[in-house]
Amino acid sequence: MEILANLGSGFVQALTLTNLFYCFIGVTVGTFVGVLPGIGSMIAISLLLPMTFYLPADAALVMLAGIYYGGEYGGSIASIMINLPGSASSAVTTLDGYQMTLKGRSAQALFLTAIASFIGGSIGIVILAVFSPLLADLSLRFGPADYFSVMVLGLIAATCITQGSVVKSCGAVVVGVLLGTVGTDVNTGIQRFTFGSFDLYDGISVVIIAMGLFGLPEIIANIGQPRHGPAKTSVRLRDMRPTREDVRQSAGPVARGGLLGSLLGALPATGPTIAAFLAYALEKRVSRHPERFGTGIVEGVTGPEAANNAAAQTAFIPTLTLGIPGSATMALILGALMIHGIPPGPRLMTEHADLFWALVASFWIGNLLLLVLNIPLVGVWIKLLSIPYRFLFPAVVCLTCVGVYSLKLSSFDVFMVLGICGLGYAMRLLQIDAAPLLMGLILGPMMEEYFRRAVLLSMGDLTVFLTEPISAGVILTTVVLLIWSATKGKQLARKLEQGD
Amino acid sequence: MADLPEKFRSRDSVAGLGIAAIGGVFALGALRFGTGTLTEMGAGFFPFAAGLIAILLGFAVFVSAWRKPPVPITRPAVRAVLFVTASVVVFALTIDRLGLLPAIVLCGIISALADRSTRLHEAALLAVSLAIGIWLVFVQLLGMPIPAVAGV
Repeated sequence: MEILANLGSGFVQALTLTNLFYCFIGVTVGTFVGVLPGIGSMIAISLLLPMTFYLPADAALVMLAGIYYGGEYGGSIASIMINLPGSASSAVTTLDGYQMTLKGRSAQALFLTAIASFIGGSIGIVILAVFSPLLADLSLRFGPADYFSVMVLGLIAATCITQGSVVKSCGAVVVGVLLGTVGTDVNTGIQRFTFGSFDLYDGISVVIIAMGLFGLPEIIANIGQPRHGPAKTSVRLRDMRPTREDVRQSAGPVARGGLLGSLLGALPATGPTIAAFLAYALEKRVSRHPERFGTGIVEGVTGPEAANNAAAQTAFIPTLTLGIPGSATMALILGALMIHGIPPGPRLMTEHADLFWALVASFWIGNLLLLVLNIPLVGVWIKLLSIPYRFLFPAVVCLTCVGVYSLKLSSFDVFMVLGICGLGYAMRLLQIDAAPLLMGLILGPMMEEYFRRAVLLSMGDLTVFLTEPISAGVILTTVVLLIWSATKGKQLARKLEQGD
Repeated sequence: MADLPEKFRSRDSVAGLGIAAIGGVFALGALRFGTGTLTEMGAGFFPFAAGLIAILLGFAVFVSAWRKPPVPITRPAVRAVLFVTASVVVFALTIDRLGLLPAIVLCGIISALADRSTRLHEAALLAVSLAIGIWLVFVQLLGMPIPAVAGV
């Protein structure tokens, strides 16, 4: 019952005019960038992060979170209409979604997707509201050694399911941790790697790293690529009504997808993309007609879409209760919390309980708004697909420059984002995933702090990480995960890449 | 580069050496801050340890690349790199001297030209509308203290 009371006050706070406005902005921007292939929610969140300095913390987080889950809705529109996923997690939706378009059923596919997304998202939100307090209670028992180990697990897990070599991704994590040490050392006050420059005293801003690693290199890589044509069919509202058969066939997949997605979203590293792929695989497995998948059947669309939206919501569980992000985007949300002076970790749930519950309530309001944006207004988004990329990317470049400059009104930061872009583009050419680097950068300073505290408490005994029971269990899990990823994980990653 | 053996130019050997080099630079630099002991850690302890790990991982990538057939490095998109870099540099150089609107217009035009098919008048129109839009949101709505045109 306490949950209901908390949720009630959460809704009161989320329904203020300011928060409602920024929730709307967030989900609209999220749908916008979700629809457009080549610009994802990651870029949008880093572009809007500097703007949130001028907002109260709750409005800022409501908006940034809205971009994230809004992107999951938008992504499927491009998948269905032009056979090109608007975001990675909607890739699997192309398989049956575009086939439905070819059969002239795009309107129904879009309608069912929006409903499946809404139900999936709602399942995720319920699980988020129920399990977060439990997990936060548990994590209050964590000591510094346990925290250090959980962060190691989070980082290793993030490298295991990336494409390409695990060792390369681990290297990227450590490079991120190293970049995170730039700036004033909190324990000794010594300037580390600042070269005596005042511009680096506070370290390299998360905003600069995110824009430099993801925004600019993504754009450079996409410029001049052959683009898709405009969507061929237009969608009318009255064509959207699904048949009774469609609804009956979707019920099971949506429920299963929502639960599977909720589970995978809360685990480190397995975010919405994996959830969508596995939900598709699951539906194919339980179906009596697996051979019909890929020919444009509703189960192939609604299951994965419920899964990725549920996962997008439960991804907030570890981020908000433990302070440990499961993906680079969640790491960015964590960065936003810290920028607003809210230390992430188990105490967030007690000391900033109002913020937590307002966020949970805003998720549901956001999903409701998305339903409106994606059903009656879907035509607008389809039109967006015909904007050529060459008119979009200059906006990203300009917003990057202005956003970075606005941090400290310093043109040094603008040059710095260019430097990080050089690193990011080089990593792209060398096929090193940049997401683990960002996670390392954000978790690095916290890991150092917990490491120092743990070793100090144990009088310099490094075995503390293996003798503390929780920590030992987590380290064991990490080792098992590493062995698994070196053997079985490779096969799974390959399967995911082939879209099997 | 051309006279290096092919294996050295393979994608993963360069990646491995790059990671190891970054680790090395940080590890060396960290020594100056003092690593201290486990009971009394210096400011250099953590970056030094992380730097060493980066060196190890880098060499692991390098060695595993050595055992596989070489994969060429993806060719960079030269035009896009040049124009985007130029646009950001021009923004950084003009924002303090000329103000927000001129800096965005210049940055927008130059970056738009990164795509071969964009014409100059299209780029200019796009850049001017971007400048007005960004000025409205950042300065008018959010109240950022940046002059629209310097000296006005």
